Amino acid sequence: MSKTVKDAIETIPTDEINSISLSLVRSEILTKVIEYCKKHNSAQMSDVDLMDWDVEFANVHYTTLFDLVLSANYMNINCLLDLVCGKIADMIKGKTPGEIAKLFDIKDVSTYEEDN
Amino acid sequence: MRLVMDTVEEEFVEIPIPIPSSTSSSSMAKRPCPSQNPRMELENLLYQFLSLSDRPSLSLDLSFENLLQSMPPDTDLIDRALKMGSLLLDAAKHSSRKRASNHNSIVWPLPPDLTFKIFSMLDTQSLCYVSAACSFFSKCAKDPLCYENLDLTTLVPKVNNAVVATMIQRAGKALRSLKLGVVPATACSPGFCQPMVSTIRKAIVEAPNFSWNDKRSRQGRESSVLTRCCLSPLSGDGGAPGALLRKLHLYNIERMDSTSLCGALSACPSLLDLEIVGIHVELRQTLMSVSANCHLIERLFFESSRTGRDDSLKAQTCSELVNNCPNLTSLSLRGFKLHDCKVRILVKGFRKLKYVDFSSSYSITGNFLRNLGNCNGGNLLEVLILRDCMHLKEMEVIRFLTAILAGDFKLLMHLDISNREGLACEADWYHRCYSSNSNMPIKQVLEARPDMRLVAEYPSEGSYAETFDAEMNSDISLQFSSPTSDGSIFMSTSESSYNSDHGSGNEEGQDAVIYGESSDEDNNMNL
Repeated sequence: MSKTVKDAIETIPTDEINSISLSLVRSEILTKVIEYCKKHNSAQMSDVDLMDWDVEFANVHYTTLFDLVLSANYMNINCLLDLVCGKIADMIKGKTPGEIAKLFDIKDVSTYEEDN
Repeated sequence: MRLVMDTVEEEFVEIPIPIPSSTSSSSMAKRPCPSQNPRMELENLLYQFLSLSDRPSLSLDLSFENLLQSMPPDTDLIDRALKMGSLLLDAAKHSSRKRASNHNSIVWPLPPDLTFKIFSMLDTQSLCYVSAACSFFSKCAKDPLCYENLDLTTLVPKVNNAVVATMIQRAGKALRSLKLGVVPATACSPGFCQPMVSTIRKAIVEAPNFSWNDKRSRQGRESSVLTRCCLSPLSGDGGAPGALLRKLHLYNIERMDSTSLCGALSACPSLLDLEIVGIHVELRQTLMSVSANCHLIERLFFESSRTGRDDSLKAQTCSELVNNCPNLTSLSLRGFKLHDCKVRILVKGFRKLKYVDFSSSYSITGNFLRNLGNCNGGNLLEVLILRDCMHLKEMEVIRFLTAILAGDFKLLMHLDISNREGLACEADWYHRCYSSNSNMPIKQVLEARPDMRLVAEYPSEGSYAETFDAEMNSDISLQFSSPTSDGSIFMSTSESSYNSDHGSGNEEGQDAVIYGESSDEDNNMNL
């Protein structure tokens, strides 16, 4: 599922593989990513159940979501990337600018700007 | 551009400061700096000055005034204070911005390309809001990828031409879908429910702070009104925005007319999905423009703004449409005056047609359904909706249901022949058939075809008189002669006295169509 891992496997001769370095991914996040990949690769659940599972999976604090986005991007797992980006987008929808800034603890830089 | 805040490079300015002889014990005593490094001295001075803000009874203005008075009259101390004050303010703002940016880049760790990706999943209004949250978002939100699908529909008129133009320009050739106009919350998705136009008109009148009267008196104020040129940006920039546009949905844009709509369509050769509700355009002209420009079209949804009064459709228009747009799979023409012969051209001619909706149509009797099941255009039908067609005859519906029972229309999944006034009786359309009198083989169809959804809601007898629409009575008259002996029907229509400005009234008025039971009338039609 991860294109990065797939590419790594394909470029290195098989008997030499001991480890693939994923230096940018923290261990807790990697655990979650592996959980996602395992779930999606096993054909046990129906599509609807899988969608429900995805919703549950993405129901985490947004800082975790950011980590997942960066990891999924780095490891090139498109379906996970779409899922998590969609979840962040859902968090933004329907909010006013002030609420969005508050949610993500973003400081409004523009009040101090002399020009745009 | 930002001022360069490198004040360290400036010369160290000597200002004589009279030190009061009685030094109060200040917690901010001068720090010893024996090395006399100019930079450090300045920083020390700055530090000491800023520490003054801790003093509870700081009266900077008084001290400054005292200082001035102790100086010779030609002193430039005021200018210096102004200059230094301004420099300090700018330095503080700059550093504050820098820290806020750093803070933001920590709390939002995603690089621009991932931020675009998230923003491209936002609806247009959320996109505008998010771009107002901070300047980084504002920059990201200008990426064309975020404007691929523009939904500028609103509950009441709020969006004007300038907004549309800006959005289309930002999208550029990334534009794939555009929805524009006024759609109240009560309007449900087009498909299986009531005509949208009447719902919309009613909802607009009832919307808070807005009424038709207000709108008329506001004609002079352009600020929140879409004019007929609102779609001209599609043709701008060499036609780039319109060139790859796939979906165009327009709702209740009062000022749009046939010319401007056709102009917009001519800029959209890749259009797949066109939905037009409540726009004052003529059906024939619009379909001709589609025929001429949008050969890839797959879905057409038109709902008339003048229910029952648009009679512009001609047989030739239908033939051209069928020939030029072979990919059409979904056709909805609601609230128009349609004749069976023309409808037949359409339904038989489109070889991929699966979804048909002629709800609220006037004039069609259902004759077009005869012998449809065993030819190219008919037996692929999956959905057929003929809701509230005033002249739809019960006899034709029975005939159609019988054909289904006989095995035709195998792919039909959804059939809606409901009518809030009941179906038209054989001899005189004025008389209605009610569910209690019905001979329709509905139960048999439901049993024979359990996979099919059949919707057939009719009023029970007696409720007809209250719901009869007076508008319908005055505008349209339809006469039937008695059936001929071989079972075929001779039908003529006559125009009423209302203004038919298409110029097609007289010539079409005496259409005589004869259908035999089993004859193949295809040789008359241009397929």
